[in-house]
Amino acid sequence: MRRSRKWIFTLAAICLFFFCGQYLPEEPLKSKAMAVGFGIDLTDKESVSVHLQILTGSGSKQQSGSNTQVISAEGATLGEAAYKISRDTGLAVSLTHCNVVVLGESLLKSTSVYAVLNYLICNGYLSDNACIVSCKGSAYDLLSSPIGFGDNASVYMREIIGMYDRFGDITGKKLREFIVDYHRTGQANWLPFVTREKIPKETPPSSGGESGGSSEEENYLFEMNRVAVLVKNRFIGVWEAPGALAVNCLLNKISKGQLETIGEHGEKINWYVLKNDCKLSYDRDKMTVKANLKIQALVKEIVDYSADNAHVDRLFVTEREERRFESDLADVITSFYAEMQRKDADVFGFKEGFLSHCRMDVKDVPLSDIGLEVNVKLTQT
Amino acid sequence: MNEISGKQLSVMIFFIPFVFKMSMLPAYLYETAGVDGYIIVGIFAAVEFIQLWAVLFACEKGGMEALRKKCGDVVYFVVSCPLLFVIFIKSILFVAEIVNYVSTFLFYNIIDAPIVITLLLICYYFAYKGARTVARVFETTIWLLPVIVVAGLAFGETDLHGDCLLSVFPNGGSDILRSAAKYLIYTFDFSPLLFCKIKIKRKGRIGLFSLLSVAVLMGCYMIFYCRYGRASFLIDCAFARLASFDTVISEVGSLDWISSILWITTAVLNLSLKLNAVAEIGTGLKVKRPVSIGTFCVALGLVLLKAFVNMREVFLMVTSGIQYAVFGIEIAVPIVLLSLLAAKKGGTYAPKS
Repeated sequence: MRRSRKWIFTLAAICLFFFCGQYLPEEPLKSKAMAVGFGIDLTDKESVSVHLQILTGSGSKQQSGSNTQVISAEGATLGEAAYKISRDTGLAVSLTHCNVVVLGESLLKSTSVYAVLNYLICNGYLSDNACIVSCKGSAYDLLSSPIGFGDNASVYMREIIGMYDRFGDITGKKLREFIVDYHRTGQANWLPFVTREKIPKETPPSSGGESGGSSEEENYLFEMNRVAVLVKNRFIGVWEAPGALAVNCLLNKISKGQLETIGEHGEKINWYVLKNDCKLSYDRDKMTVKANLKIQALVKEIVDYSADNAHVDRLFVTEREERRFESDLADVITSFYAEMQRKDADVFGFKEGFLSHCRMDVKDVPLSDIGLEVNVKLTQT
Repeated sequence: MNEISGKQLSVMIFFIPFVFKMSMLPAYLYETAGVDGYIIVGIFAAVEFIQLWAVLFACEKGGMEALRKKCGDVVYFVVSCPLLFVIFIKSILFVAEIVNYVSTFLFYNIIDAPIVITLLLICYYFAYKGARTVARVFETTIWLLPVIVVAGLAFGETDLHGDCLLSVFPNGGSDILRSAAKYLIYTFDFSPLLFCKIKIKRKGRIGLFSLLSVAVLMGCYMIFYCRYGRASFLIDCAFARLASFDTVISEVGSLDWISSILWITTAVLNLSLKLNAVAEIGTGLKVKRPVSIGTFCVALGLVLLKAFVNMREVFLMVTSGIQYAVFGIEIAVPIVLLSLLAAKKGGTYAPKS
């Protein structure tokens, strides 16, 4: 190619790129509303209320943590509500750094959960690795809560759930996992259920001569050791920490678990669970699932509240106490499963397992006909 | 201009069957065949390499250049025009997929026209420079693969449920024929190599890269189905979703930008190779290179901007009866070429080294 033609071609390309460039969205960072939390409530009129926790970077009065502001808008769809936020703030909403999606109680207990979330998974606006949680009350209240720890409510929740390490009784669920579980056989789903607990925050008296002692503002802690269960779009209920522990033991990875058992002489033994590994096997003849659960744990503390204190000066446990640990944990799991059987909520995905492992279509078989045997093997480190 | 070394060919045959099968096809295959999709795509890729060997055999005999010199322009015109049709139809699909990727994952809420124009301009340049330039860029691009693997191993999380892969062929294998009948358009992309002069020293390397391509393709499909399970049909670009390695963006930044570069580069190069074939057809018919490529690109742009304006319309068109004609031509052309060259036994054509 002659040099002159090459230059002409290059100039033509540059002109064309400038021409085409005007069609690209011009949104510098400062004109974007970077959302770190995405809350959704269902309003009375069956429209959604979207709450975005947006980074402001201005250090103004703290609403929910440093440098964030929660902005809400209502619309018939998520897109419409997000559009209103963009329009009213003059900022383009960006969800690329949004890692938490909060479903308010009104949405959780409605029949519209999947229909609302489908928008988020089908578009590339939000990472499908974002955490999804449900909460008591309004998602707005949760996101806008002044918190005692962490930068803001969204980051705080993300840190509790833990991206790499899991607490024993705090479940975590990603948006992608929620959609995947919705489509599997059984269509049962579970979500962490968050409640707020007030903690008083004392502020020192001002030095300007005002009389009286200190004034109190409220901060909140989040309790996330409950699990909400849904079957398809139907809300089933909320279970306390043992339910969350059962889900984590069979389905997730634990690295910071806690379990308390009773010693041979009535003392309380506190265990720290380091690792779990669960293998499920399916018996098509007996319609039973066998869960072989291996736990690595260490004894942290032994407390005896009787006057005796004869059995606390140790960090070892007897073989009987080890068996007790295993049976206690197995009881927690089987008790939770029994409740799921009553509600016909296949949270552990056993029906999908029978289809994959045994090629049995048990979609219409009630969960009460599928048994569960849990064998826990403890390795004390 | 169109000389390709054996090493470059190996890289190209790794990427060519891979690129556009990792975009929207995984979701389509899941809709049709469920988790059998990963076996079906492996069969697709394996059969595709049968065409590759036929094409390489034809290239050893001189390819389309030898056909023109031995059999004349008329025969060349008769054999190459169907290829023009094939390349046009496939280019419509490939451009639409690239535009869909860019407008869904790289930029939000933008119109397609600037993307189509920019893309065709870049492909025009690569095609004008020739297959050697395309091959060189392929050779450079492969170095992104180890970077992606290292980044994934270092920062990625895996949350795969392999159970869903166990229930294969629940309908006894009838899914294979149904999927093959529906998505033939995504196979057999090696015919542009007929216009290249390939120096093959080690055939073993070609076989190795062919196997690697099939294995990696099946592996990616398996990972995709393990990750998305029965929701796989919802995901419109498998490669873009897999590229994040299950890692939340705010932790280490976006891991998927390296994969984005890899996919877009190899997709553009794939398209450029086809446009290079158009240029060679034009040269054989005494049409200047810039004119033939330019005309083709303008026609392509007009069709995409005026006739088939979105991915859905393109998909309906390319998966209609047209795909059977495309498939037939792709199969027939290397066979016809070899037959004609064998019929004309007057001396051998030795490609310039």
